[in-house]
Order: sequence, then structure tokens, then C-alpha cells
Amino acid sequence: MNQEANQNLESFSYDDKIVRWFTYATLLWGAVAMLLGVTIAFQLAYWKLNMGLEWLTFGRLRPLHTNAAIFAFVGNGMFAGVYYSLQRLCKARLFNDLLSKLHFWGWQLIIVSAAISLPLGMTTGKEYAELEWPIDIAITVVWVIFAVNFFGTLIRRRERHIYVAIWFYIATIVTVAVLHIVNSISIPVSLMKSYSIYAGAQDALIQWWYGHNAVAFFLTTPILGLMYYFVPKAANRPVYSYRLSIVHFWSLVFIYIWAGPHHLLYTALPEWLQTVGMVFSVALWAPSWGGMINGLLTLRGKWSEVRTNPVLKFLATAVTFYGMSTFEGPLLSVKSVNSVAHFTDWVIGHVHAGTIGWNYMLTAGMLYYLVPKLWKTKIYSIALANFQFWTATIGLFFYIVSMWIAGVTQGMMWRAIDGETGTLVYPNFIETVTQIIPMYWVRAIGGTLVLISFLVMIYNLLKSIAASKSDLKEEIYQAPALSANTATGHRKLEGLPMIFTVLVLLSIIVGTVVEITPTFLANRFFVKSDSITPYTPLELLGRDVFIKEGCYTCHSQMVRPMVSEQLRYGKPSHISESRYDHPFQWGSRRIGPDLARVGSKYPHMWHYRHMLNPRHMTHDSIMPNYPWLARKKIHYDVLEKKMRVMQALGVPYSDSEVASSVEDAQYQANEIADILAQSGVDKSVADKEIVALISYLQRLGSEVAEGITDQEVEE
Amino acid sequence: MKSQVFENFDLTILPTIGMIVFLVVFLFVVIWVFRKNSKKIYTEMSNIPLNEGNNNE
Repeated sequence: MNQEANQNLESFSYDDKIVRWFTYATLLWGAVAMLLGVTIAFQLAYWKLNMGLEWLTFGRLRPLHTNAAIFAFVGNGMFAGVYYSLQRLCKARLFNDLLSKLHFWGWQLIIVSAAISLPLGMTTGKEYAELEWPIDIAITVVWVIFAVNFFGTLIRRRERHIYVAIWFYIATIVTVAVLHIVNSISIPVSLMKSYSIYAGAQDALIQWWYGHNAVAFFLTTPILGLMYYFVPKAANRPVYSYRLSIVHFWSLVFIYIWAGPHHLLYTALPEWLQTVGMVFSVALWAPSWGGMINGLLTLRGKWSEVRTNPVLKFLATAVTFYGMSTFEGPLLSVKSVNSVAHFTDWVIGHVHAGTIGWNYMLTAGMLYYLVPKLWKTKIYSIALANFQFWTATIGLFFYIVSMWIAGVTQGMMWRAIDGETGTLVYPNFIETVTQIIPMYWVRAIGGTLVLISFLVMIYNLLKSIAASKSDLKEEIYQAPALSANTATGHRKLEGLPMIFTVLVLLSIIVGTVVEITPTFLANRFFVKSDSITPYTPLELLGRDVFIKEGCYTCHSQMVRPMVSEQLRYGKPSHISESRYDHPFQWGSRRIGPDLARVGSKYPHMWHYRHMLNPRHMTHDSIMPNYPWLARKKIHYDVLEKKMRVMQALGVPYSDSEVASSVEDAQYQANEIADILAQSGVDKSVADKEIVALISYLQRLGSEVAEGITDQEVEE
Repeated sequence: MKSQVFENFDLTILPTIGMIVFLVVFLFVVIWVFRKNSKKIYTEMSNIPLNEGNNNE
């Protein structure tokens, strides 16, 4: 046996250069993402911090922060870890060096284009999928390059078995591709503007099917794969239970995809679908904790090392936070908890327990392991690593606790009803905002500590790299070739990943079908009712301003069927009211009040003054001023194209409506400008964006879905 | 009102099927990992990360 193996020994090397590049990118984008996070955190505490610049408003920077944290920071870290571990688990060099380089530079280019386009207001208005269609296409291309490189390496492997970490990577590649493509399908209007082909409830379902699984398959499964590789490596012992890891994998891949509807609890979704989402969210708890226990038990007997070794310290903390946030997640999806927590900061705290506690900590542990290996050097300072660890942990503690307090406080205030009079205890939304401003400061300070900790790590690692004296020549490794062992060996090697990929695909499709089918049927049903008219051309333009400014990052458009919401906002939202909304704008957070029924509530002049300075209308408002809306002209030139795209998407505009759209829009704009002029506003406001926005806001909720009566439903 | 709308679609069958499919898959995986002779394979597999190939330098 030994002799035979020696005869077939092959020499090869690992491409570690690409891993080093991705390591640098992780450090750079991690700092950028956290700096953005700290910036917008302070903006919520003190509204003036956008410096009066439209590019720095919360509405535009928040999408950039989330995209940078998920796709730039965790993305690059994941690619570094995947490429490092994949080669070693396969005992094979990456499939193609050129593909690796294209992958690297392509991904960086995508990040840079996101960093430019999002502050400029080029956005699809779909959370975590804000990037416009040319960038979406680039993401698809780069992802395919990654997949080819990945599977090419897998096929050439010199290791018979596919280790469980690779399973998690495969699930990531397949699922992210499906999610990204399905959710991003849209019809372009211009180079940087498109409309989602989905509308209203359907868009909401698909968006959160994407949104939740972006968390699952971009921030969780690949990182679990990294955990299953780096924890055993760092502890120098195999994973506690390989059996458990297999059960962990299949349950997770199978269940995660179902859990999307828990983002839409108490919205206009059918009851049973919400219940399914809730049950599966709770069921997720089991496999998640199986994985956490597996990771932690791998360290059994090594706890003294966890205290001294920064790699183990970060990894153990990451796994613990994984356990914590996967406990909190199912808790939040329980309906009664969700009715308080939804739209509040509790969810924001939960998300950061995951991204900082799990993703940041695990990435830090991984980098402290990788950098000495990749640059043949030693960690510059263990003391600095410890300092970083405690700064990050304390910062995260401030973050989570302040968001718990803010979330529960605001959630309880929103729903507080006076038992005797039956009215809201806090009828003014702003009261619930000023109450939690101190928590915004605590959160911002916590976030700053996390940022500082990250900068300390960058310094520590760069110092370590600078101390490297090695010329970083690629080492030659040897392993027996697998294909030579048996005649059919090679065929099997190619077949196994293929079968596996198909199985993963099937698992995620089952959940997808269950989740998404009903809305397709529902949309067909609602076409019968004509009670909701499409937006007028001017309203459509105003809606695009709303999307461009990222208003949905602070304002929801979804009145939930609860007494307190009905008292505060009006009739609960109906599914048919957003049927022409490409994309839907239900929102996920109420930093400001819900807008679903804001139409006709205030005169035009109220909105005009409110946009210029919200504090004129609401004394303590934390919304920034939007003076540029009264300066920038409405883009009528693309209106006809927009109308035609909407027509193609099934919005019932007639051809003559499309043809006269500019004229109609200008007519409506003049009407609004006339009314504003009565209060002393200059008539020249007629062709400014603010008029379009006012027309849109005034329209919201004005058409309650009255056409659908209970009788019609029973037909 | 909306729940009435959706009652028109008798779709509870979908999540029911899904739940059964999942339970079957889950039980199958659990039984599968405890099949005969699996211990040897799993020990071998769990050691893969610890073995990077022979470095001949």
C-alpha cells in the first residue's frame, strides 16, 4: 500500500498569493464598513452629521454600510478562508490562477462601484440588494468565475473524501447564485435605474426570501465551513463529532430557506404562511446549536489555551455569539415577541450580534491564524490582540444592550393604550424617538469601540507582515494522486460534487416552492379587483425620489393589524394596495413613523416645510434637512420610458397615458405648485423634485382597498 | 379580510408536504450517519484538515 502510494506521488503547490490579496482586502473593507456604520450611528444620535450633504444622508449611507459589511468585509474574508482551506482540504492548487485574479479584481470593482453608486442615490430600493442592474450582472459573472474555480479545484482533488467544510462552501455557492439571480430580475429603464419585475406582496416575499437567506448563506454557511476548518486547525484536533456536523449541515440547508416569512409577520401575508415561517425559524434553533456545540466541544481540554492564544480566543467567542444570535433569532420570530420587536432597534441589535459577534470575531480569529502562515511570520503583539478582543467585546456589549433597551422601550411605547380612554398613551411618534436618543449615543460609542478594535487588528497584522523576512516562495507539497488508484476513480471524483450540488439545490428548492408559490397565485387573484389605480406619472417620479433618498431605511409603509397601529396610523394595510409597487416599500424599521396612510393627512405646505427642515413641523425630529429636493429639477426625460417599463410589468397604463405622461405630470406639478404658491412659495418650485415627492406622499393610503369587500372574496 | 382571501387557496397542503419531506430527510440523515462501519470513514474524514500533504522541504 505504502509502496503503491509512493509510486503515484505527485508534487504540487498552493496558491497563497490570492489568499494574501483577499486578506488585505478584508482588512481594508472591514475598516470602511465599520467606519460607515459608526458614521450613520452618530447621525441617528445627532441629525446634523450628514454635513448638509445629500451623499452622506442616512438613507443613502445605510445601504452602503450593510452592503460593505456583508459583501465587502465578510465577502473578502470568506474568499480568503475558502481559497486557503479548499486547496488544503483537496490537496490541490486552485484550478486556475487567472480565474483567481479575475475573481479578486472583479469583486473589488463591484465594491468600488457600489461605494460610488449608492451615495449618488442609484438604488433599487430593495434591502441588501440595492445595487443596480449592471452591478448585479457583474456580481453574477464574478460569482460564476468563483464557482468554476471552486469546482475545478474540487474535481482535481487528491483527497477522496469531501470534508464537511467544503459542503458548506458548495451550499453557499449554489444558494447565493439562486437567491441573487431570482431576486435581482428587473427591467432596466436607464443605465443605473431599473424596476423589479415583482410587485407588492410578491416582491416582499421574494425580497425577504433573499434577505433572510443572504444572512443564512452569505454570513452563516460559508463561515460555518470556515469554523469546521479553522477551529480543528487552531486546536490541532479533529472536530468533536463528524456525525453531528453532517446532521447540522443538512438540517440547516433544508430549513434555513423556509424562514423568510418571519420578516413579514403581522403584515398582509396569509396567516398560515406566517406560521410556517415561525415554526421553521424556531426549528432552526436545533441545528444551529448542534453546530455551536460541535465547535465548542472541539476545544474541550484546550480552554487554558483559549485564554492565551488569540486565534482560539476569537474563534471560541465567535462560536458562542453564533449560538447566542441563533437563539435570539428564533425568539424574535415568535409572533408575540415579534409584534413588539418588529420595526424596532431590537432587530438591529440582533443583526449586529451576528455580524460583529460571529462574523467579525471569526474573521479575526481566522486572520490571526492565516497571517503568520501566509507570510511566515509571528503575530507582532499578543497584548494588542488581547486589547482588540476586549475593546471589540465591550463595544459589542454596549451595542447589543443599548439596542435591546431602545427596541423594547420604543416597541412598548408604540403599543401603549390607555385602558380607560382607549387612546394611545404616546400619540406623538416623536415622543418614542426622543426617549431612545440616549441609547443611540451608547450604540454609537459601542460601535466606535468595535471600529477601534478593528483598526488595532489592522495595525497588529500589518506589523506582523512587515516583520516577515521570508521571500514567500511557494512550497512544494506531495500527495498521492487519487485518479490512479482505481480505474473508475476519476469518474467518481467528478461525479461526487455534482450529485452533492444537485442534492443541495433540491433542498433549497423545496422550501422556496412552499414559500413563494402562494403569492404568484395571489397576484392572479387580485387582478380581478380594480379598486386600486396605478400611480400618476408625477407620483411615479415622486416614488423614485423616495427610493433614491432611501426613505425606506427609516419609514415603513405597512400598518399592521393591531389596535395600537390602527389608532396611530389608520386602517391596516391591505395586500392589494401595493400591487403596483415595483419594488415594494414596506420597510423593516421605523426610525420615523409609518407612511402607509400619510396621504392627505397634512397639507402640501406641511410636507414642503418638513422636507426643508423637519424641525419646523416636529420640534425634536431627527430627520435631516432635504433642501436639495427644492433645488433639483424633475427628470421628465426618462418618464415615458419609465411608464413603458411599468406597462410591460403589467401596470395598466394605456398607450395614450404613456404618450401624454410628461404633459400630465407637469399639469399635476403645477397644481401642487399653485397651492404652495398661495402660502408664499415661489412658483418655480413646479419643476422641482420636492413637488413630485409631495404628490407621491399625498397619494399614499388614500385609496384604501375598499373595492374588495368580503362578498367579492367569497365568490 | 386578507385571511379570508387566502382561505380561498387551499394551500395548507404545501407546508404540510414540506414538513413531511423535511422530517423524512432528517430521519434519513440521522440513521445514515449511524450506519455500520461509518465510524472508520468519519474518523478518516475528520482528520482531513490536519493533514496538508507531505511538505518535502
